[in-house]
Amino acid sequence: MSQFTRIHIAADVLDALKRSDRSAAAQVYRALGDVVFTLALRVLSDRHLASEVVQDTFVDVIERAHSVRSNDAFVGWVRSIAVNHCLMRLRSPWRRRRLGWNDDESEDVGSAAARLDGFGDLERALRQLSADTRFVVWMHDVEGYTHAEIARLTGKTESHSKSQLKRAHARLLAWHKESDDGRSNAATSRDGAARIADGGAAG
Amino acid sequence: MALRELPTAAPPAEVWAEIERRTRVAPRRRVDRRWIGVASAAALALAIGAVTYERHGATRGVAGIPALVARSQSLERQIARSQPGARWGEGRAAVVYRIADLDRELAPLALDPVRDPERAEVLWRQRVALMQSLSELDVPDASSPSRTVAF
Repeated sequence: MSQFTRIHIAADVLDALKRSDRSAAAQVYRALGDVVFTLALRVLSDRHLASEVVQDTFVDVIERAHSVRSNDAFVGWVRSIAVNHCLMRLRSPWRRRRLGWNDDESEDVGSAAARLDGFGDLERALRQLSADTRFVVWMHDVEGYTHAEIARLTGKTESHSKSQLKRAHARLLAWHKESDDGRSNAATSRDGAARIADGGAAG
Repeated sequence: MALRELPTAAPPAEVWAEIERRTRVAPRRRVDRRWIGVASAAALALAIGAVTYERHGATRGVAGIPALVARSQSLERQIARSQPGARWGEGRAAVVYRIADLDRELAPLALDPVRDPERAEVLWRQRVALMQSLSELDVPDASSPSRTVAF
């Protein structure tokens, strides 16, 4: 479940935010700053760019809050702004190079796996994926976007999104298995594989 | 551990201070939009002037002006295409201000190419340089909240 869905902003805080109340803006930032940063960090794998995304997202939120009609939709609206700011950075040619955007999916799985040291390194494994694959994995598995929504965002097809996800799952499991084999812990491996799949095999 | 169970991370402390700083300049942005209106009016005058220059510029010994006008227009179209959702952040606004100032000076010269062609050429060169700077500001500082952004 997306971290965003666990967050509720009180109606009076949102009303105050729409009136440009700075204290309300700070409250909204305290409630959502971490999840926006986490989303950007996981997708972009770059703390500096993730910080930029947080800045741009909250500047938009503060300046445009008055345009949100339904308070229930507020958190989702914030997330969509953050996602768009991530996409803007992924689209930028020089940032694509910096982020290791890799349309031909030619990552060196072996060397990536060699840098992993256990199941707790799932976060590091995620970073080894190319930026576009990481975007699909995170948006689908964690944020709960459908393949149709991801396809619309990326301008690619649903089948492209599905194949990206399938390959990413296979890689994450391979990395996990390889690192787990190193520790000779078969039981943990089976359990771990099941849990990674649980995190994203559906859909 | 599933992906969704990965821990959240906190942004650096200075991020909020920067957000506060940027949102405090919001009133100035509303002023910016008036300048954009001025710039639009000047651009219209320049468009008319550009046609005039194309007809008369070469005969006045300022053969470079039509090329500069064409380059300026090309960059302007490129910016409009590549940054459709761009808002005027401080860096961008500074360049836009300078273009608007330049346009106000250039408009009467553009409408009357025989008045001071050498000065007009200098101004067109400056306009091209500023447009180039604007086009090189890599990423717009805001985006639509819409979820239909294409790569």
